[in-house]
Amino acid sequence: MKQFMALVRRVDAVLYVMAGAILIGMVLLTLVDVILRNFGHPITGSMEIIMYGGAMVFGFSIPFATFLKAQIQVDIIVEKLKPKAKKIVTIITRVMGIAIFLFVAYNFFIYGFDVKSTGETTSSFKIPYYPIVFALAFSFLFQSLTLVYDLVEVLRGTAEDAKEATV
Amino acid sequence: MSTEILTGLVGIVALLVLFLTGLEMAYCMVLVGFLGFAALMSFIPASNLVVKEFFDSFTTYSYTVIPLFVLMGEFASNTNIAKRLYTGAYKWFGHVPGGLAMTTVVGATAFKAMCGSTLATVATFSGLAIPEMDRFGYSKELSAGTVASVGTIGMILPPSTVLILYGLICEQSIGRLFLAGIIPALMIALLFMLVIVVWVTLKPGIAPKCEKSSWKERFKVLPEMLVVIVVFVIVIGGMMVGFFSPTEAGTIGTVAVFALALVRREVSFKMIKNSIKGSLKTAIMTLMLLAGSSIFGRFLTITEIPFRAADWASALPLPPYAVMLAIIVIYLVGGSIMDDLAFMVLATPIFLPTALALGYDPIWFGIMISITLMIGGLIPPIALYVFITGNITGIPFKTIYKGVMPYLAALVVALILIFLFPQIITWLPDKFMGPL
Repeated sequence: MKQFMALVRRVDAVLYVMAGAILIGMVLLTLVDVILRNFGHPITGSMEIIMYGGAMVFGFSIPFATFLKAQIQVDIIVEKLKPKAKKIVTIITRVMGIAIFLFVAYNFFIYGFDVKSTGETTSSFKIPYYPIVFALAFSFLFQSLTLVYDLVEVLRGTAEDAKEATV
Repeated sequence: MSTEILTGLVGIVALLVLFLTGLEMAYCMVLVGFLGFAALMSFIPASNLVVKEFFDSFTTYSYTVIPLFVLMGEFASNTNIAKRLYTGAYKWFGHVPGGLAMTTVVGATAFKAMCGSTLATVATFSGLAIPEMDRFGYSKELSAGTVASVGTIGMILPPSTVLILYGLICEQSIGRLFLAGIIPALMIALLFMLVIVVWVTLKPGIAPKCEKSSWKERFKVLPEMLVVIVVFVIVIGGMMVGFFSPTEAGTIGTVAVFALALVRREVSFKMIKNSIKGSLKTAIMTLMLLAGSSIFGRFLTITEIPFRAADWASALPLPPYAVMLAIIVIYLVGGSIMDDLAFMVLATPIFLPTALALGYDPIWFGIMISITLMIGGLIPPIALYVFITGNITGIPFKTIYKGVMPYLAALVVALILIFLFPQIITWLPDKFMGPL
C-alpha cells in the first residue's frame, strides 16, 4: 500500500509539472504568434496547438489538484457532524468520487480506441486526436487512484493532518 | 406534470442534497447529470454524453483563456505590485479623513485590474492594509470591513474569472462583458469611498488623520499607478478593438506582469513555481465546474425545465422587474450558501432563458447577478470574504460583519441604480462594440 501511495503521488506530481511546462509553452507560442502576426507571418494552426496544449494542461492538472483540495465543496453540514459520522460521510463521498472517475476513465479509453480507428485529426496540422483522448483517460484513471489514496488516508485517520501538497 | 419535468425536479433536489454531503460540486453535477440523462434516455447515450462533454470542455480553444488570465493574476499576487500600489495610493489619499481606508479601496481596485482573483485581492490586502490601518489607530470595523468588501469589486472589474465563466457558459462575448463591468465597478469603488467619507464624518474617532505627502512625493509614485493602467488598457483595450482574442489578451497580460516583475528584480524560481501551481489549481477547478455544468445542463435541457420556467415566468401577471427581483433573491441566497462561481455555473443555465424571455439583455444580466453574488459573498452563513479577512488577521467575524454592513448598503444602492439605469452597464460595450 505504501508503494502504491508513493507511486500515485509521484505520477500526479509529474503530470502537474508537465501541465505547468505546457502552460508556459502555450504562453510563449501565443506571444510569438501575436508578434509574428504583426509582421504578416502568423503561425498557421497555432490555435490548434493551443487547443491541444490546453487539453493537456487541464487533463494533467486534475489528479494533483485533488491533493491541493482545488475542487469546491460545500462542507457546512459535514463540518458540524460528529467525527465518526463525518468519517462515514467522507468515506461514502470518496467511494462515489472513485466510481465516477473510474467510469469516466473507462469510457475515455473506449472513446480513444474509437477515435484511433476512425483516424480523426485536427484540420490544419492533421494531428490525431486519439493521443489527447488517451492522455485524458490516463489522467482520469489517476484521478480515481488519487481518490483511493485520499480514502486510505481517511480510513487511517491521517487525512486531517495532511499538509499542503508540494510539487 | 410530465415525466421529464418530474425527473428534472428530482435531479435538482438530488443535486442540492449531494452538495451538502461534501462531495465536490463538479462531481455532483457529473453524477446527477449522468443519472438523469440515463433515466430519460438510456445508459449508453448518457455514457457518451459524459465523455463528449468532458472532451469538448477540455479541447475548447476559448477555455484556454482561464489558465492564462489566472496566471497573470498569480504573477501579480506573488510580486510586490500590491504593496507598490498601496503605497502609491497612500501618498495621494492618506492625509484625508479615512484616507487609509480610501487608499485600500483605490489600491485594491487597481490591483484587481491586474489580478484576476477576488480572493487573492482580499487575502493580499488583509495582510497589507489592515496592519497599516492598525498602526494609525483605525477601528477594526472600518479596516477589516473595507478590506473584506473591496475585494468583491473584482467580480465585475476585468479581468474577472466570474465574467469569463459567465461568458463561456452563456456564449457571450468576454470582451463585451469586460467592458460592461468597468463602469459599475468604478461606480461601486466610488460608492465605497463615499461610505468611508460619511462614516468618518459621523464618527471621526474611527480613523485618525495620517501624514500629508508633498506633491513631489505624490507625482513620484504616479508611474507605479500608471503602469497598471497601461497594462490594463493594453490587455482589455487590445481585446476590445479585436487585436487580441481573450486567450491572447491573457497571454499578453501574463507576459506584461512578468516583465514588470523582471524589471523590478522580483522574479525567482519560487515565485514562478507558486504562480504556475496556483494558476493550474484555479484553472482545473473552474474547468471541472464547466464540464460538470455542461453535463448537468444537457440533462436539464432534455427535461425542458429552463424553457418551461421561462414560459411560466413570462406569462406571470407580474411586471418583468418583479420576476427579476425574485431571481436576484435566489442568487443572493445561493451566493451566500455556496461558492459564487459554483452557484453561477449551476443557476445561470436555469435562469438565463427566463431573463431573455423577459426581455433583459444577457450582458446586463451577467453583471447584475455578479453584483448580487458580491453581496452574497459578504453575508452569512458563508461570507467567504469575511472568513478570509478574519482568518488572515485574526479579527473576530462579528467585528468584520459590523464593518461590512455600510458597504453592503452601498452594494444594494449600486444594484438599485443598475436596475433603474441599465445603461450604466450597456453604454460602454454598446459605444465600443455596437449594440447587441
